[in-house]
Amino acid sequence: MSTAPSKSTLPPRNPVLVALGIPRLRLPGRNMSIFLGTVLGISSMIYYDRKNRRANRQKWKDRVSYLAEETLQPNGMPRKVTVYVAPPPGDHLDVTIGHFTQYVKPVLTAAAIDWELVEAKRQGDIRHQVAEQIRKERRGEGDSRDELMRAVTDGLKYDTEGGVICVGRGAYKEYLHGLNEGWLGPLEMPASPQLEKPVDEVRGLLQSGDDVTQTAVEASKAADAGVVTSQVAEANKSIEEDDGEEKKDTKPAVPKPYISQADYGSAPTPPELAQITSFQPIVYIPLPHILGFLNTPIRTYRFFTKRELADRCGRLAASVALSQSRPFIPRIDLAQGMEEENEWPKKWKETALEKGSEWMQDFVVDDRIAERLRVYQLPPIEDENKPTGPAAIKE
Amino acid sequence: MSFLGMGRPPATGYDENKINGIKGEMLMIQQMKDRASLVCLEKCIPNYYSDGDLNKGESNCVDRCISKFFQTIKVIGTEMQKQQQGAM
Repeated sequence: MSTAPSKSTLPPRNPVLVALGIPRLRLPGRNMSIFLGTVLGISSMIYYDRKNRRANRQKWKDRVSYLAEETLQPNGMPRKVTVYVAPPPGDHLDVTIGHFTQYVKPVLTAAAIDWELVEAKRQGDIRHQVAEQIRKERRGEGDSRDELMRAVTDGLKYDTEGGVICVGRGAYKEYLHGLNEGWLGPLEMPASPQLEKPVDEVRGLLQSGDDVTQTAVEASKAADAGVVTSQVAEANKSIEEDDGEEKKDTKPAVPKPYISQADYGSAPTPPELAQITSFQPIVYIPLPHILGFLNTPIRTYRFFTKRELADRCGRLAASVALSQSRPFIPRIDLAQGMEEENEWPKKWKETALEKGSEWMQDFVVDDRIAERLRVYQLPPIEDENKPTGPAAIKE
Repeated sequence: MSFLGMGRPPATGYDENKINGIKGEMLMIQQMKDRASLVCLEKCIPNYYSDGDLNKGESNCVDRCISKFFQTIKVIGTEMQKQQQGAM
């Protein structure tokens, strides 16, 4: 109605912009600034973390990739590493497998190392399987191939080095306990009141255990080195499906250890053990996993700093690939992963202690086993970003 | 059919249908082998040939490729059988 001021109080505009019709440029206001700042801040943190995670992963892959360029004869088989995964308490197996796939597997593929993934669904699965495998070897039944397989695989040259990767403290504990039980325990299941169950159930126990180990041994010796996921997983699934048909509650339980931790010291040394000078070296891959609403700040921090984890796990995987190991020192190595164990849910730990579950029992390794064990570890490297080749490993 | 109205006895009693069946199978196996080799060569073995031997990475890759190939064929085969049975 009234006349507006004829001249605006803003500075004159560039006639080019006026001609083009571009409106006056403004900085965002307070609210918009906060919004943009938050969004860009979080995105850039994620981007930075992912970029460095990829760079760290690539660094370790490059360090071991010279191994993939060695020639392999047509009748040669690649080195096969066994990976034991168990679900973290209170969560699913996908977590551990995802962790392995993200941080350890790339380095193994870059080094052209084949792996056999042994999954565990319940506590004691891994222990039983490892022990059963050792007992089979002790009895002399280690070679379970039939004639056709023998004819096929006898001409193949297997790589005897092997190696064991345990992802997570639970798998680590179970593997070591299984090793002790297998070598120091009796060859047959001891008859004890706890183990007396109706005959069918016992057979079911032994059968399920045997099936699992049978396929595990076959899988480890199969010429089909290309099969990534082990047939054990399939056997496990099929066993559980069979049991699911009857009833969920009557799943055959994992057989109890043939020898308890307290008896390790008093067990006689079997002659088969005396002949072995060293076992396959092992390595423990940390699996940081924390649950709980009040732990959200810690989990947020971990979400934004996965590059460190990639570096640590990549380094351990590279030590496996490069076969750099040191002797097992119980004082240090039994404590590996305590920070992971401290993060296990408290309630779970309490119930586990009450029930006497395997993961909360004493973590003991007998001396006779410990002196034969080795642990994969890379010596300190001066400059991790320097490109390497075979010569640089002799440090 | 070969011994109807021709006045000629069959040689050692071979069955033409069976022979054709076996021929078909051999052809299928040969095709599968060719296919698998082609696919895995394309996927696994890079173009620049500096060495005549397969290295470990390539060898692993080929192993896995063949394994996946045959697993796929098995899965497809079972699915097709199911569908045929369902249609019948």
